[in-house]
Amino acid sequence: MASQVIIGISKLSHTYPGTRKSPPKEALKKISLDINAGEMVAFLGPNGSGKSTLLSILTTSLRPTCGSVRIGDFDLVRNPHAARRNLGVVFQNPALDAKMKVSENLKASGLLYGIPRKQLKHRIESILREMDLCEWRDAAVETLSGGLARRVELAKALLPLPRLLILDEPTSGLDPVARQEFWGTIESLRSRNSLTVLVSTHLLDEAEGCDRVAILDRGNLLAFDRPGRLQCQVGSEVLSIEGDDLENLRDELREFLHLEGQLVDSALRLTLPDSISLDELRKRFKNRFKKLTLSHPSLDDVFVHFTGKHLSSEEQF
Amino acid sequence: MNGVVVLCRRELVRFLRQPTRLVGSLAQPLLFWLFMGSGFSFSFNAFSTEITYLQYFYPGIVLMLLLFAAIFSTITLIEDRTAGFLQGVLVAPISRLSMVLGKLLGGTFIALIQACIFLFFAPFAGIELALGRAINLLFLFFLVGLGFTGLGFIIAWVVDSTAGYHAIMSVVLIPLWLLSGALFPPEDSAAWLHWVIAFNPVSYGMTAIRYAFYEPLSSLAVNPDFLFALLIALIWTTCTTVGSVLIVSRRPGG
Repeated sequence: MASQVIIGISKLSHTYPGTRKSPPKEALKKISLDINAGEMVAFLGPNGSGKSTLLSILTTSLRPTCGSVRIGDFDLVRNPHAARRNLGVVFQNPALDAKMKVSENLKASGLLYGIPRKQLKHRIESILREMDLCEWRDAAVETLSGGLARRVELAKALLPLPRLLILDEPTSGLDPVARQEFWGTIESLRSRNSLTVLVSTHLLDEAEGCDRVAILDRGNLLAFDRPGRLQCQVGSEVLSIEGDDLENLRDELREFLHLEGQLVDSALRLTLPDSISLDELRKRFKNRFKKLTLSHPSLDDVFVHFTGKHLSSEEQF
Repeated sequence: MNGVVVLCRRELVRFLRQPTRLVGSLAQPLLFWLFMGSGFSFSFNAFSTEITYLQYFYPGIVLMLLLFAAIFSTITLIEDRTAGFLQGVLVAPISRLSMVLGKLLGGTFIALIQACIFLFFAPFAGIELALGRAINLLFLFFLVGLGFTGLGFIIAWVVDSTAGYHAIMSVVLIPLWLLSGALFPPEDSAAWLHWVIAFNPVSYGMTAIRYAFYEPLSSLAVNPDFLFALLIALIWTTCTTVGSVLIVSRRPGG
């Protein structure tokens, strides 16, 4: 079934201008991808991968150096003002006024989005009910817990009935229970409305729950597919070997068994083909392994497959 | 238009929800006026027999109040940026002009509220507040307050920390007030100071406010010094307001 494309990104590049002390930094390199209506897409990448730059462009906070982005019928680069009406954004940092009440924050945001006053009151009531926030209506935001404040952020973003919801590291700073609650709320929202959601994250379990994952590294889009299909690209099973002299072991595996391994952190990782069994490997390289781990590929393995490094170990710029 | 009203209202609500800010913003100029006014009274009276230093300093302290109100309301721009509130406003479908005007008018109304409360002390400075004079003063307070708020906005937009803003406040904003004729009459100062005061745009706001306090309303319309000072104050306020809009529009994504 052909789905309607809601976001069309074409050859999008951005370079931050250099200063006297630092050279220009190419943060995005000709990225192209289409996102369908109703999809939830994760942008997965470490710091400096370009995902924050991409999100800044999609939220109209940053004008790209070149390329185009269409949101619905609007060209986001040429007409950011019109595109903004279709966007609901939850930023990584709280965008609420802590001194104001929950209802006041929602009212102010609704008016900024041009919702007529008569409709606004009804809309606020409805979103407070939907997000289970009625009892906090008159509470100042500064008195709310982190999880509740995030829910208010979400309510604020959804108030103008956006076609597209953008979540920038939405659960950073939340405890595991609040994180789970947040994603539960997103899931129930998606089941009731056909909402398109874009999430920037560096958390693998959050990305695994999305319909498609875009893997970014150093400004390049390395892969864009369903999590399951990305994992299939790596292989059916991933072997992780820990031990001494792994470099020699890697060379021997290449020479004798034609197995291409990657040294990542302090382990040698490789995909095991069906033709070679684990027992055979153990017999051949007896006493060379301290620890062997065989597992189904995770998104981290996908990331390692494309970049040669773990997502969590990468800190650039 | 909605954007201007919403953002302006937010400034006022935040101000009124922080009683310490209201008390502090009034107590500081009052204490300055009483302490410095009384302290310098004797030396000042040696030069002028017409008015006391408490009387001379009163319009100057009102100017200081307007300056500090602008500083405290525009420094919140840096807080908004750090806390993220500004991000939410910048991705909302309102023009940059609305965003700037909302912030500037909010800050200016806060300054106006404080200055109005301070006007209750005018009789202690020997100033009678008839309705016409009060209205004229409110107009001037608005004009000068907007000028200061615009200047504060530009600084807050460029500077990325409150510490940096405080540094600029100490070396730029407070000297603008000190060298405006608020503390001492320019004509009695050293020649170089005289020139500095003449090139300080804030001096003209000070002169206009001082005339409005002491001269009858009827004579102001034909007083060339007052009219010239008013003109320069108008130009200065226009420049800082337009400058605020331009500096925000320069931001990518506009």
